[in-house]
Amino acid sequence: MGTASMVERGLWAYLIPGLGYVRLRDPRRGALVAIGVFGLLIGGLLIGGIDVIDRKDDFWWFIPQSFVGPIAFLLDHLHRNVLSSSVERSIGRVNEVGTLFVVMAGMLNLIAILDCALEDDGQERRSEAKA
Amino acid sequence: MMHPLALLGQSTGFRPFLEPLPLHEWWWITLIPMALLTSIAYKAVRMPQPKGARYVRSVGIMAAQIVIAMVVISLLLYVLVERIVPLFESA
Repeated sequence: MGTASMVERGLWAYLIPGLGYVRLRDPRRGALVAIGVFGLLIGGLLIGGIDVIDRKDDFWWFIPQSFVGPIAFLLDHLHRNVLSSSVERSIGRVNEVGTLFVVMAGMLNLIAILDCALEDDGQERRSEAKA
Repeated sequence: MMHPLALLGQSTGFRPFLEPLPLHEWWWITLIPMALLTSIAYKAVRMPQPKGARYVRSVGIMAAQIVIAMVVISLLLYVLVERIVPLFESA
């Protein structure tokens, strides 16, 4: 397994959640990962508003959120620059829950990124899980 | 020029994605979709063949395990904070 191909597979998985599996000719798995990750991302944004993604004010939360892919940086840019005058700051439970949703999306996509990058080992892990 | 979502908010009172959902006391209900979506993605990565009834059953079981675990942890924390800690305060 070459390092370059490993990085390439991981990069595809990072760019769009689920795309790594599509590249590995496993579109069903990719679609299910995309449903889970995008569902959590959209759910988090709906519950807490776009304010739950904030690279400046919530830096430590943004680190796991950034594993959703470039879309996390795009949403942060939209929040900070494009929609800044329209966004209402979310506080309390809805902010916490919304942030957690997006963090979960990022963490799950990180698992998928690693699984795509280490595909050979991944098949082995899945076989062990079955047994 | 106002953003289309902001214009929508002027007519309905709620601007999705621009302001938080008015869940108030019902925020805990979000635990269920979170558990379900987490299980969908995790089981898709983990299972050898993520399809059919076996996949659906695995997702359902994992989602139920997450919800039950969260409820049990909440109850334990409630007992600890509201019942046990005050005993030490009064002593």
